[in-house]
Amino acid sequence: MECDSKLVARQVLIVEDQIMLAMGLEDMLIELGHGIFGSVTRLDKAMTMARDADIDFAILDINLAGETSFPVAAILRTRAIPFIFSSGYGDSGLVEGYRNQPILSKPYTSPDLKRAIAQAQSAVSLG
Amino acid sequence: MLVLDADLRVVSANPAFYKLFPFSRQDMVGYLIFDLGSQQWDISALRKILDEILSESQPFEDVLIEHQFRGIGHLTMLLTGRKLSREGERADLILLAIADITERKRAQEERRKADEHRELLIGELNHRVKNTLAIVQSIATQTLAGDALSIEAARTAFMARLMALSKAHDLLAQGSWEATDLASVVSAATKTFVHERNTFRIEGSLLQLAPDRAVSITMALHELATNAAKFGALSVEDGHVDVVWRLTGEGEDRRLHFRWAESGGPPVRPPERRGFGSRMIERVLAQELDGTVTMTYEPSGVVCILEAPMPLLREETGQNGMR
Repeated sequence: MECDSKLVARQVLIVEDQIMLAMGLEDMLIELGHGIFGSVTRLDKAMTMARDADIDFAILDINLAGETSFPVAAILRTRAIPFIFSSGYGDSGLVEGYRNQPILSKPYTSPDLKRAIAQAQSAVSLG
Repeated sequence: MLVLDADLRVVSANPAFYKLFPFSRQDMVGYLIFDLGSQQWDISALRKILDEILSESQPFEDVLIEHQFRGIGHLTMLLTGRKLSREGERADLILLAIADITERKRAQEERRKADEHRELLIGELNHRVKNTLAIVQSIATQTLAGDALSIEAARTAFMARLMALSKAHDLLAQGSWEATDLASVVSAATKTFVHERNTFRIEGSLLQLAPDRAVSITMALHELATNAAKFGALSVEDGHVDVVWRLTGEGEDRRLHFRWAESGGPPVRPPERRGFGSRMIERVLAQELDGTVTMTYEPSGVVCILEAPMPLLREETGQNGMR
């Protein structure tokens, strides 16, 4: 698997409440050369992990069982950990403050994922 | 329609006015418009436009006034007025036309609400379609990548999974996408595996599941049943599967104890490879339900036990809610 070493996120946190989607995403990430730190389905667990876990990157489904993952995004920002959103609503689900964050609109392909990861990582390293 | 004199006293009113307002001629003629119906007509917006017409001879057209009238209720009216100058000594008159648009406005408001509701539904539908496409994508990718021994086997497995997903959606549609009970989910996931002799015993307390969970559990149970049909109890005529569950605890502390137990089949052993099916069973049941899953391969058949917290859903307490 050819992969720019700078863009490889070793430990990715997946926040996705639909397990079947998390499983598909894990496979895609592994194929792209990334490692999976873990998948969580619920906001409280996601926040704990975002706060304490040794992660390099995160992919956040915006809608989690009627809540949003924006609180997780806020924690990741303070730790300067790059992340991207995913959503079935497209861009319209984003709120003020996250408009420039890369967002994957479901369903997405492996190249879409790769591009979004690279974009988020370069944004953090520049900022 | 009202005709007022220059002091804003009522000169006459037409039949349409008397039809709309419960006044008789004696209540009206000669009275100041603001005093009508025990000062019910003392409306500041009306004072303003009538003052203007008197002082500046400024006609007005379709001025919207909303007012609560005793005995009639809330009215929305469009008022049009103009001063009628008369020749000679005769004093000026004011013509005041009142159009009752209460019904029209209510209809407009209802239409606006219906439009809003429709937009919301379309947005939600779009979200669900996209989400479902993503699930299909995930199932397809994983079926092709992991389990497939041949194209034919992959096609069969994919089709069966797609049908299971479709059945889960039928259930959700029946429940208006709000909640579906576990017994229906179990029946839907196992229906195609029921033959004349091998039987399922499906028994448990009423448990409402949120839509996403109902879909996931249907898919996981489909995988359990598929495995049973390939290698376990459902691969022989006399095989039998007990699917039983019960709930313990109350409210926030409620827990689900779920047991899938096969019997009467050939001896089973743990799978050598962990494909999509085993991952689905373990992860969906364990992770999505935040519980623990134990798969044991007893001589009598596969036993899958799930223990999971199952706090009372908002749907079950009577309030509407959607995951």
